[in-house]
Amino acid sequence: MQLSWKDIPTVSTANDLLDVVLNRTQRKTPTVIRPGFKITRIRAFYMRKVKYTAEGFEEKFEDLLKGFPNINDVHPFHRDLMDTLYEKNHYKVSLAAVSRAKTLIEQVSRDYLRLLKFGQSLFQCKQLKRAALGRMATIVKKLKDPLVYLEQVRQHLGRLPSIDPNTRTLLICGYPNVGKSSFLRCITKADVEVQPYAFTTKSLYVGHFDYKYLRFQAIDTPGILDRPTEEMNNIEMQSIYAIAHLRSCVLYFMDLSEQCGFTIEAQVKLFHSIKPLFANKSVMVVMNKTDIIRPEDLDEERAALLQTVSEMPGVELMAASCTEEDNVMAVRNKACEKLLASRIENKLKSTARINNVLNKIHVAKPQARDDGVDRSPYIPEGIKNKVKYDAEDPERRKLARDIEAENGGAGVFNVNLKDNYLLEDDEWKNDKMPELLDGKNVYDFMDPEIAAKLQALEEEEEKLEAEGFYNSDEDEEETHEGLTSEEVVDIKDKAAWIRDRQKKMILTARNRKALKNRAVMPRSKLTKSFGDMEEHMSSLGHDLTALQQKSRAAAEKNRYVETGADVVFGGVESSTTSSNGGKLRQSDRLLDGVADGSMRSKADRLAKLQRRDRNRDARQGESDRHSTAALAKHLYSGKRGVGKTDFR
Amino acid sequence: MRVYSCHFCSSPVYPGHGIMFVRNDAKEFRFCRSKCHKNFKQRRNPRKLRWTKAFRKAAGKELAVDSTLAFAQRRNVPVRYNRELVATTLRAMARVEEIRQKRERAFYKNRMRGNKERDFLRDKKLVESNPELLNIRDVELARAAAKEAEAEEDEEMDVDSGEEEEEEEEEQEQEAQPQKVLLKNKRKNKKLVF
Amino acid sequence: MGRYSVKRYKTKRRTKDLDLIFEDLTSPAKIQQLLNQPLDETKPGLGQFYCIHCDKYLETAIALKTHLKGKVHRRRVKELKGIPYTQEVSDAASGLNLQKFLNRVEQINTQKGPNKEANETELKAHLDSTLENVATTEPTLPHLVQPEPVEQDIQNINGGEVQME
Repeated sequence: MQLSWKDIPTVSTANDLLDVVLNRTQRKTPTVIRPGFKITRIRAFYMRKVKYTAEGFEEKFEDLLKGFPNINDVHPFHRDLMDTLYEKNHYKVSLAAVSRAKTLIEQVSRDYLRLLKFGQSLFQCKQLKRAALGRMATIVKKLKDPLVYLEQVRQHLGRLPSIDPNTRTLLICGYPNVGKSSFLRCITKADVEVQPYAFTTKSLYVGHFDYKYLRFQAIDTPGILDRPTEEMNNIEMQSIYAIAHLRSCVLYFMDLSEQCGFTIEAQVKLFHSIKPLFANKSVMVVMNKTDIIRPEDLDEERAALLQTVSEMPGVELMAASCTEEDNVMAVRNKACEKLLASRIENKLKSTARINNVLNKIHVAKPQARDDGVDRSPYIPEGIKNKVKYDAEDPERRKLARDIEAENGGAGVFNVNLKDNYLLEDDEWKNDKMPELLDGKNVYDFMDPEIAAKLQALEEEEEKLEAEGFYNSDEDEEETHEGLTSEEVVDIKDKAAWIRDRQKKMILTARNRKALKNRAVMPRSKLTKSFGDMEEHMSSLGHDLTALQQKSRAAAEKNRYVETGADVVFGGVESSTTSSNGGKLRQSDRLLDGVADGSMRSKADRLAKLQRRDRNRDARQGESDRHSTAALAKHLYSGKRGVGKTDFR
Repeated sequence: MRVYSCHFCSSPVYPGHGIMFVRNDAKEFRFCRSKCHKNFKQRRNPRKLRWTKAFRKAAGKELAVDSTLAFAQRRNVPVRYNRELVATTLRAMARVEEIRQKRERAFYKNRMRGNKERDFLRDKKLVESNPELLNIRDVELARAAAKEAEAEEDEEMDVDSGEEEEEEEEEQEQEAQPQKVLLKNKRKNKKLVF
Repeated sequence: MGRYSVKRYKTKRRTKDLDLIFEDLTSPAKIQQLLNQPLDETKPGLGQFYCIHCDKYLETAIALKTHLKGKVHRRRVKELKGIPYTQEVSDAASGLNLQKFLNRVEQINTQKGPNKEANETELKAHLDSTLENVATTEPTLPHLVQPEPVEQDIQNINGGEVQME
């Protein structure tokens, strides 16, 4: 629960609020609009303005409503305090007004947005927006008074001492001017105003101190006058509420010297009149100002009056002096002790804590399943008769831990866990059993009757063997009806060859069809020589002799026959050229276009000359313009030092 | 430690291998490798994939029901260690495995029994229906035979004229030279002609 | 999603396995339970149109009707025939617990299988009868929906009010 309200946002006045929100709208939304724009855009422009303004107001009001505490939700002490200080109804009405303004603004914005949706022109839209903002402004202006009031409340709330109603509290009360504030000054560091006149303290003050490493708060209350509560003023009511609502130790201060202006009689009377408020609280009566008069020095009449005070059960009388700081600490400590004792007592009395723990514990009890069957726990005999282990007993059991310690302790000696195995033969205890064999789990095969089963299997096996189940005709030569084994082998060979051949044919056909980055050649353009055909046909096993004879005859007919002219001009050449059987029809390109031999040799020489430069640069031809590998830069540039250029 | 069997392909899953999937009804599914796991996730039916044991057994490719297979069993009664029992068990395991393999072999042979006859008939049919290809084969065989014969002859020749080879080469060179001369002569001759 | 999508095979999106569906189909009580599911807004169609074979919630009765006629459903029904593939089958294939597996096969063939067949025929009859009056195509245009029932409703409401008064 919230105990202090120091961070409520400031409440600006109605006019400021208006300025802030409208200004923000102006700044944060687009400002330029022209009648030539599309109507949807114009509508959107104004709708945005209206919506934005409404949102701004709503946001502000929301903050405000969130910041102020709901008077019904706070601690009763704070509620009563706030009621007396700010008038509960006024407070509620103000907040309600703000909340209503918020809903009204929402409504206005909704209505005008609806209208704006159907705005026909820029002017119309603008007027609608103006009307909307105007109405919102009116609503906000009407909030002027509540806002001013809320701001005042905020300021006051922020300054209220943060009193925790549930913590350890010493509450100091009494008539005005009896020395309550000076006591607070004495026991805490609170800087409370102390003046020698009544009602110096007009509100609650809080000081803190430590006792037994516990934090206590001491609350100084304004003085109370002895009159009915209806007649009490706001200042007195604060103390009354503090006494009524706070779980605390009440220190009732009395001034025996009567310097405060009230008689002892009046003070005792006040004590009796507010006594009902002290129910369930530890109370101490502190007689202040012992420096002026000590309780022992009082006359009998007054002492008797005091006696009536101490007659109330649980009330203790103590004397102190704040000016001389005499006995003050004793009073304080006594009060704290009393408070702590009563708090602990209360805690013990309350069942909430026990219930809290009990709620977390659940003891499950198994439900009886079948009647008549005894399901008592089974405790083995050995365990039942076991003597309880006692470390002191000289004849105690020997534990594995002891054995370990005897043999050199942990890390040196390992206890053999297999020692406790229950086996038929103790020798077997440390046997290592293979878990896996040939990818099989040994345990799956382990069966008390395995020998018998295996025996049965062996018998079955023998029977099968006798029946000839395992006889095989594997090695026999393969024969089929009407065929010798050689024929069979031949057929198999042939079939294998055919399969292989078919596979190859398919592959070559596929290869032929695959383009492999070549152009598609028309079939008519593909030439095949006679040789190709010959080869192909012979590989297919056709007899080609007839065809060959025919072609030979044609070649014979076409053969070059030496003529007289050839003998005259050709000489030796004729015999060489005729080797392939055809005529030499081409002229010699070397001699084409040259008049005679001398011209030819001249041309040769010129060509050689021209080539010479090129060859020197190791160029391939006229068009070769490559430059040779570049020299490293240091070889042809820079300053020349010692030596000649050639020697670098 | 235990060797589990793969849920999908029924191969052994050794400790530290494979992956396990636990369905939300606490059923365990162990897989020998990611292949099986992936196939399982794709909800494939192992009985329809040829590489799983389930398929092979269901399709009659392997011995599915046999007395040798009745030995391995997860029993719900714990058996206490007994040296003799374990020894017999280990012996029995080896023996059972031996018998199983023998039977498996017999089963396989039995399964493949008609195959030779069938294959031969198919071969015969193929040979009968492809006379033209057989022609080609004959040609090829004949050529190969001829080549072989030639090679043999060459070898014989080589054996005879081992020393003569060098001379022959020299002769060839000598023959080449006059040819070159001839060519030169030819050009000159031509020039002379014009 | 394509032919193979990792998304489809995430454990998050796992659907019921065939052996579990097989078990469901063998027990009439389970079928009853699956057919009469409570309204659940997290499921398609509030969990009212469920196909047991395909472990699938459909949006409407029309969708369920078309689904039951469809290829996917028929394929699934076919897959659910015979002995479901479980770890037992796998173990038996590797030669472990063979006898147990054979017993189970026997049980399925003699007992569970026929049971399931009977349940399936019953289920089919039930679905056919309940979905008989459902149109096979969804109305696409609002004017195709007949406005009569609305009028009736209004009359009913009026009648109710009169009675109240």
